[in-house]
Amino acid sequence: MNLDEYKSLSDIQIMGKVGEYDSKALEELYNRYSPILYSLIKKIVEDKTKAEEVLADVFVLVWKKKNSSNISDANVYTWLITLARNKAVDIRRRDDNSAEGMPEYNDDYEDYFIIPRLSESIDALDLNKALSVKDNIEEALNKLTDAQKFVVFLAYYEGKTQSEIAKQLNIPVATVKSKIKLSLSNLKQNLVSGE
Amino acid sequence: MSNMESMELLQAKALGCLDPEDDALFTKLMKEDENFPWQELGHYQNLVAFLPTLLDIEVPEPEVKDEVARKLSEHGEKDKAEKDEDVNQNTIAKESEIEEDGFIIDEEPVETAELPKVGGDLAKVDNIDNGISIKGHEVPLQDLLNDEKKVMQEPLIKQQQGKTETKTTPTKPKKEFEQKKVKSYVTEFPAGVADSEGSKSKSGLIVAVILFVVTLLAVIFVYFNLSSDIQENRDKIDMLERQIGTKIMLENTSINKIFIT
Repeated sequence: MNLDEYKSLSDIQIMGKVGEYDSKALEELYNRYSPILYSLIKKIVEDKTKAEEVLADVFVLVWKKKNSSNISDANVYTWLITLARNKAVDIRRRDDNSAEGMPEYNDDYEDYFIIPRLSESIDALDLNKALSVKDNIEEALNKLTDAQKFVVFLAYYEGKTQSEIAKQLNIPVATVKSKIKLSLSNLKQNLVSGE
Repeated sequence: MSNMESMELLQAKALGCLDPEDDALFTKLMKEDENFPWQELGHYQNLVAFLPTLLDIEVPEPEVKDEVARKLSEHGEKDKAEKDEDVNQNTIAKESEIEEDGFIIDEEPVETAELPKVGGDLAKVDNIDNGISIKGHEVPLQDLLNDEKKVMQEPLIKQQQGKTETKTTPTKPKKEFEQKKVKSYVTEFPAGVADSEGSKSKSGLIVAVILFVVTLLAVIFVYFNLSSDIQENRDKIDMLERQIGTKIMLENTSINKIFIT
């Protein structure tokens, strides 16, 4: 099977082949996902070279964890996006001087904090489908208030926890919690009503 | 109550911004709560994963792919080294187990009186000694067992002479036993087979010589047969050439006549 034939395979099929130690499948997965993962990582770590390193690490992790029980067979897209986000946030937090008390990076840490644990009953989603609803997502996000958008941004792209956001904005943690809850509920509602 | 707690934390979990204590609580709920809202969590995880689609998508430099390949290669080598180390450790562990076995053999005498009875049932027994198939080989296995008896008894005798002597080399009896087992297979069991194999090789040589001679004769016969045919054909060709020559001479004569006339 040549590389062109892999292009016709679905994300799930590709991931299945990666699980069978098929390096061409990993290459196809890289070709498909590296642009969006790289863009996401670069947005988080804010450095080109570092983003490239993290991207490479993410694909090594995919290869390493290909037979892990945590790997999602049904939803490759969300699994990969979450993995890349977790890894990039970890690098950002470790580089940040304020994160001195972070635990040692070892296999246990990686399994718990970096490797995503997706819901047992998550809907299937692949890259093409995700990109096809991009406009709807943008529309749904634009309907949020600036404050809601900002907490989502701080949490997702800056990797801040709820208490860190509260500290940064000088507001109670409970307020941040309710804002985050409301932001995502509204985003979901807006997306459903926009479709 | 736990379901409500889960619902409170769902969005923040999906967004990846739970504080460590909340995250620990959420993980606990995931494991223990029978009514955990898995579907809701799935919806929010997918929703959050949509966010990067809004970014300006950039393609990484081609070198990054090479970097992935390099890191994978490194990982493979590291993995291999770890596996080798595991194998070494397992080997050491097995050796220590053998040593312990050796100790047990030294300390527990073998009931030799029961051994002849075993011979009668040998054909029915499989894997009597760590995977050695003995089905249908009563005599050699009996030899094996006799050897085993001898070897097992040796350390006991030594132990009686002085316990330190046997305990300093606890693996030796086992190793000797293994060696003897191999020897008994090589010397006793295949003895008849070795003879028959020798006679087989002799008869094979005779057959090969006969075949060679027959082939040689056939070649000679074919050669002479063909050469006589060739001679016969040459004679025929000569005769035909002579006939043709005569005809051509006659025809040339007549053609010359035409030109002349």
